[in-house]
Amino acid sequence: MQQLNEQLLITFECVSAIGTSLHLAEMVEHFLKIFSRKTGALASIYWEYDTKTQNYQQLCLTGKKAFQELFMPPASFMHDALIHYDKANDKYFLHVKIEEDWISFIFQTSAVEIELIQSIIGSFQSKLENAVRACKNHLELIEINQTLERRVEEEVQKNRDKDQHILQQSRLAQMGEMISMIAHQWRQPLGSISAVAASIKFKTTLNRFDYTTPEGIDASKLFLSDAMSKIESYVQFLTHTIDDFRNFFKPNKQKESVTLAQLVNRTLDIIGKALEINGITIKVETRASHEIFTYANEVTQVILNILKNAEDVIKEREIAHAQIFITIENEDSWQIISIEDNAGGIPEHVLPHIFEPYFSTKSEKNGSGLGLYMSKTIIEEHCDGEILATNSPIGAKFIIKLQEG
Amino acid sequence: MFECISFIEHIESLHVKLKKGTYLLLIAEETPFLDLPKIADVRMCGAIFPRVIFEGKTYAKGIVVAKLKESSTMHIVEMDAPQSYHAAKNTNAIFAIVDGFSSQIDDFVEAIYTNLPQNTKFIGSGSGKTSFIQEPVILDNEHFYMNCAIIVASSMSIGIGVKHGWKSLVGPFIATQCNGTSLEKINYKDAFSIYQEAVEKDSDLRFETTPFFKISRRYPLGIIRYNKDFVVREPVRTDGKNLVVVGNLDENSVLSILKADKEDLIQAAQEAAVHSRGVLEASDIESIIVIDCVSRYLLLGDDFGEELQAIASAYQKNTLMWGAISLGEIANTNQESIEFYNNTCVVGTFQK
Repeated sequence: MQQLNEQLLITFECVSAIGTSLHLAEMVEHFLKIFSRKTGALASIYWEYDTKTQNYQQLCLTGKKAFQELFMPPASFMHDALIHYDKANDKYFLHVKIEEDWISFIFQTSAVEIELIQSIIGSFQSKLENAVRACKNHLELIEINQTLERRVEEEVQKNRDKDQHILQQSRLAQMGEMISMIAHQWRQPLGSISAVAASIKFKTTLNRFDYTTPEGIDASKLFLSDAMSKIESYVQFLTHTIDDFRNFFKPNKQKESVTLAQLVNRTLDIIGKALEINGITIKVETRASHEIFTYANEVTQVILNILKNAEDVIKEREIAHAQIFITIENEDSWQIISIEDNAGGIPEHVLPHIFEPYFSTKSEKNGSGLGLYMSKTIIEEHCDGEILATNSPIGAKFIIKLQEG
Repeated sequence: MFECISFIEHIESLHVKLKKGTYLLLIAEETPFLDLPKIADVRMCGAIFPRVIFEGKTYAKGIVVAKLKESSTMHIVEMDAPQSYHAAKNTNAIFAIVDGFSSQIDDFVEAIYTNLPQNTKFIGSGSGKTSFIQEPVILDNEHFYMNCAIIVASSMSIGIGVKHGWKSLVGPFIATQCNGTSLEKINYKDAFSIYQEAVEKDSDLRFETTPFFKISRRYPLGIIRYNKDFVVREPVRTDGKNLVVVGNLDENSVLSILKADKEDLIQAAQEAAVHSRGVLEASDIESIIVIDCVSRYLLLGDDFGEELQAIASAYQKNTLMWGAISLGEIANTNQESIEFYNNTCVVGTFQK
């Protein structure tokens, strides 16, 4: 009776030692220690089945390490009796199958005792199996989570790389547009320089000046002086244009206080000539002149981009009496600039997508699909403002809102 | 393992007594001394115990001096770094003296035991003073050490017997909440309330009027094992809710509250001696070492001599008996796992 009570008590204690951790090695080691201590096992070992290598690996060992050499791997006993007497070492081995895994114990006791011990562990074997399964499932979940985390990190990195790529492409596209605008700005002064040079060449070739008389010499000097002044003035204009573009391209890391009207003027200094050549009239109406504290060059780029888009669509649709209306006004603490053209507007199905990257209605040669995407990024993420696109009765209308201050 | 075992009353006698060699000293706590002397060609390590045992008597003052045989080695090991100790492959016996108030006794002993060869036997004791405060109680010619252990290893065999004689008074109980050495709940109730109820039901002792340790040494706890004797855990203090025991206690351990008559304790000591001697002939026995718990000594009082006589009765007359009254006992009875006991008598038989 006392032995039965002891069996029950030991069973309770061993069952309580099951499932104390979701870490398999920790849980199994704790259980084996308690079970060995209570039943007098000399040593115990847990063999975990590795499904990848299809081999058994030792997960943990309790008791003296010196006993390790007596343990045989499961392949050598799994088809035999679960209790085995090793005559040479005078030891009993008890093997217990836990799903695909095995536990082996070494005892120095009697055959009767070992059978009773086997019945003790048999009474909670299924619980032990469930606990082992829970540990393995937990590990699997952790691995899945880790894989997910890794994938998320990879995707985030890919997005960062993509953003960098977009930025680079956008800069290249802007440079292309700038060069085109410089070409427009320079065409007229270069033509003038060329005309002045041709005039000098013409007059000297045809000997239009009489160098034999003082009057002729004076007239020649006057002509050349006048021509040189004109050339100097045109060269100065060209230099000024280059400075304008260079300043515009310089990344502006510091905010400055500026009015929207000033930003519009800076933009028109760059693109105005090109618009004029294409017969586009710009009408600017300034109803508010509060300063905003922002990245001026970046906002100028956005205005420039919208004007360039308007120019492209006006040319594409061959609009007669093309006009662009720029209105500056305020609403509460917002300074608002509206840029509206009379080119007929943006198709309704296109409108929701125009701020998406790589979205362009232009031919591949003319559009990167990044201009408005970058404009939205600049206004909303860098300048804490808003940019909207709508259709007015006559054309497309872009509204940029920036906080005063 | 040891030879030339003697007893001296004064530390100064070491100069006269010790010749070239390595010595283990068991020092009774009331022995007046400041440090160990430096003697040419002599290496010594010592440990302080409540009392020492020599030739059937216990002493509050004095030193048992044991010379290590050539086949033995001695090391001082930090108890938080048991991995620093490596036993030789031919080690057959280990005698360890640990710091009896270290919180790392169980882990240390298990770590040392795990790395021993298959058939190596392990016996040991907890050192310390009856002030029950952790102090540096391990020493050598150079220093005093706290939280350290002396490990003597030998290629010679040792017989070990472990018995306590305690019987279940009431139980079983489940230790439903434990934290290290603190037993917080028994059967989901405050541990002390269960303990108090059981003790006061069995005796006239009352916790309000009697110091806790005077009661607890008479009613220790026992951890139940299958087909084996209890592992005794003695409560040493309480805060009115929890019981603090000597040595760790696993949660959900099955416990009994124990009790013993004087005769049971003495009988158990004799059984330990008989088991320790085994089938050894008297001529093969060098000496016997007794590690007996201080609680048993205090509980038996004047009758403790009978316990030593009972142990001696298992051996031929004049067999040299030495040892210490200890704070915790260590032994592996067979080859199974090592245990740290309380309130137990451990007898080791050294062979020639």
